[in-house]
Amino acid sequence: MDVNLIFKIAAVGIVIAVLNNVLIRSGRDEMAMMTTLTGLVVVLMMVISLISRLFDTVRTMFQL
Amino acid sequence: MSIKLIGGLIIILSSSLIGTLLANKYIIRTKILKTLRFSFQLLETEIIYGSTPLPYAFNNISLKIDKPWNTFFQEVSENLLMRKYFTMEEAWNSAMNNHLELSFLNKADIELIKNFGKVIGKSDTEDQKKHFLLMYAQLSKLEEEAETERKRNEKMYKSLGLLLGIAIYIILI
Repeated sequence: MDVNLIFKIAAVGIVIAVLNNVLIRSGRDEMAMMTTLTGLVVVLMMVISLISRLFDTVRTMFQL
Repeated sequence: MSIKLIGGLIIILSSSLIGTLLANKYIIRTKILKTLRFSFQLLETEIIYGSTPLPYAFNNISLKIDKPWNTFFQEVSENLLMRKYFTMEEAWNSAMNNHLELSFLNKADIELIKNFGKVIGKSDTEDQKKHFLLMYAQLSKLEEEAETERKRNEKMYKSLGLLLGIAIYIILI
């Protein structure tokens, strides 16, 4: 478990937030929403392996 | 480690340059329209106060203005002096095809200029004056539109390029 991933996710969050603001201020609300969604998907891709590992751990712990 | 840093720097630099390039499109369009207005004012002076024949009038104004209109008016003047075409309109349109295809003007701008080629040199000075007035009115509308578009898009494209570069770098790191 490395802490770098958390920093990376935080950085993506900051960049996406700024992008969102810029796009909304220039009157492109749909595009702003799309970038937010893209950021969400990218972060999800980063953590999905960890989540699956968590589920696996839980399963082995309770012997399901 | 240092290779990663250099690569990231290259990514951020190139994407922000792309953003600047896209923003430049709007800046250049407003500049070109401004130069066009100036060159038409010169042309009006040549026609109405100087009564200069059109080939020489075009040549005169092509010496006084900046790119891209100087080469355009130069070519119209050459077309007329060499008698390459039968009508003024044909000479005007052929110069337009050669010079304005790659410029940053949009369809409405090009249509306006094309329409002006149809009426120029076809009537007396009083009538030409009216055509010039109409042209200025339409041109100022286009200028206004270009200006609002520039305000809306210039900053956005610049910051968008930089931020997307940073995002790509962060995702790849």
